[in-house]
Amino acid sequence: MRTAAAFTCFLILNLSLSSCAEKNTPVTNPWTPQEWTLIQSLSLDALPKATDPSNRYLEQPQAAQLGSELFFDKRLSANGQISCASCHQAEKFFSDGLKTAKGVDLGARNTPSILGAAWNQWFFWDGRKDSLWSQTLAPLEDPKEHNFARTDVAKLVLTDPNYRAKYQTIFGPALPSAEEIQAWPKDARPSGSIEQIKAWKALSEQQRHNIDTSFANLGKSLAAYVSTLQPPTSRFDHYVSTLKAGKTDVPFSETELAGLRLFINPKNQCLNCHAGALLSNQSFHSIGTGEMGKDTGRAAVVDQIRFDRFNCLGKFSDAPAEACIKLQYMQRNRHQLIGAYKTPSLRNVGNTAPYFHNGSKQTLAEVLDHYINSTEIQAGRADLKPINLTAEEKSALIAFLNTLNAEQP
Amino acid sequence: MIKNTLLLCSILFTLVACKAETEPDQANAPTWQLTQTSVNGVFKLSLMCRHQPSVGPFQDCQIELQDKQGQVVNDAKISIDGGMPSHGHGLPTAPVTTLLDNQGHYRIDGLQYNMPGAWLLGFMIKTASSQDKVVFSFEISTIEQAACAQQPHLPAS
Repeated sequence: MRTAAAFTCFLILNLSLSSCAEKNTPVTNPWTPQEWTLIQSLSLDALPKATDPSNRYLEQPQAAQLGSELFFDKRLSANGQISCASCHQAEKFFSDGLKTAKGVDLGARNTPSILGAAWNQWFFWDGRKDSLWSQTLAPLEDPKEHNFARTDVAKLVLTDPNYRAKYQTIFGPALPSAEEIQAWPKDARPSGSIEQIKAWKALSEQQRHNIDTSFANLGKSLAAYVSTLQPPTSRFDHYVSTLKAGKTDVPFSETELAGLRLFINPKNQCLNCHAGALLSNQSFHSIGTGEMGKDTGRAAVVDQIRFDRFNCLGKFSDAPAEACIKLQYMQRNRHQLIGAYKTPSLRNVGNTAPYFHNGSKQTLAEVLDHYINSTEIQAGRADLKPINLTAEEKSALIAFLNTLNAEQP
Repeated sequence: MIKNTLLLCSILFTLVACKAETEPDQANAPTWQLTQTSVNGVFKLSLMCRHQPSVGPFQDCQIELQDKQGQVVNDAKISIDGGMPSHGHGLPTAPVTTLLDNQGHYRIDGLQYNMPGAWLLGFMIKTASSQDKVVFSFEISTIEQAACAQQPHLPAS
């Protein structure tokens, strides 16, 4: 009897241990444990919750509602024709399909999709903003985007009955008086033309503080809305979850599987930067696309970030100083950052052409050709070495990249 | 008897089967340590980190500094630099050191890696009477990267 019981115990233990050990490696899984670990790390299941200690309203539904109304409001522009949604078009996965952005004027940078933007660590191609709420403020005043001064933004929102009521519900009833708002000059901003700057400087410190407070709060509302735009699930995520469940009906072709194998192969260097569930390491790298004297990427903005009054350490941030470590310890050596841009997410990449910070590549094939043939990369002036791919491998890699596209439009 | 044996089994199962998930965190003990004498033999520096180096999170590391006689050094200014020579880029952040106690221990804040592969991490050590440097060389595997890829870039815990 004892022998039988001991055998039962042994069997249970063995089964239990096996079930733990194999929890992440189903029998039907064709990958080695190391490969499978890498592949799972790219799945949306691996994405943690988006957080931003500098914005206490990030998850507040009323703030997201106000933010969504602001996002689509064309009145927030100099010509009354541009809203955030002009470039971040829902039907184009919150991008615009253009080489570079077209606001009130033509910009110099490609419009990224903002699906999943709340998970970024830095914002804009050069990462010149350290939070989503601070990022949302810059296009409003940018002369080539909305070109709408913060005095005009604050005045519009605080005098519009709908916005004003919503604003007070979220941020409290204390607002600048109607007289004070009335007295704010039109088109006053801390950077811009001489007239615009003079108008801003003519305001009292208290007035500037009141305007900046409202402006920052609107940014936090916009961020609350944008943070509801989740990165879309893809066939790749479906593939990982199917394998995880130990099922055999995996929705991947042989070519796509070959492409995934190439993607995770260290020799192709993809994972060096395109890592994690967003397929971006959230860092800044030169891939040989910077233009000396014209656009040097991250190198040009390191001081701008540190002295931005809307950064994590600024008085409009909700974060304690100790939560601002990425700002406190950011790399400030310009020589290391020349021509470096933020690694973009590859989620939905097949739907969000053109590519690179300047929209210079129309197709994924052109992007791969850049990594293979770029003279800048070959000359060692980039953070990677040239990659070697056959035509067949290129097709497979592109097939895999397209499995990262949204399953639903 | 069978009942008791099965009960014992179930306890054993709980304790053994998922040991990794229930093992207490061995708090402050460093799990990764490198020690090296400085280039000109002036100092001995130990880099002690709570975890293996990984891509993404800020690293939780300390330095222990001694002179060549084995005496602790508490008055050093230690600056950090590093990078990936094969990729031609430096550290993604600008880490700093702060003296922790009078036992030659210094805390490192702001150290982060952004790629798997071969890294160099250098320490320039200056005191009133001497200066020297230590350069460590190590590898971060793609598996370490994957394990940490899902972690947000938060302070080291």
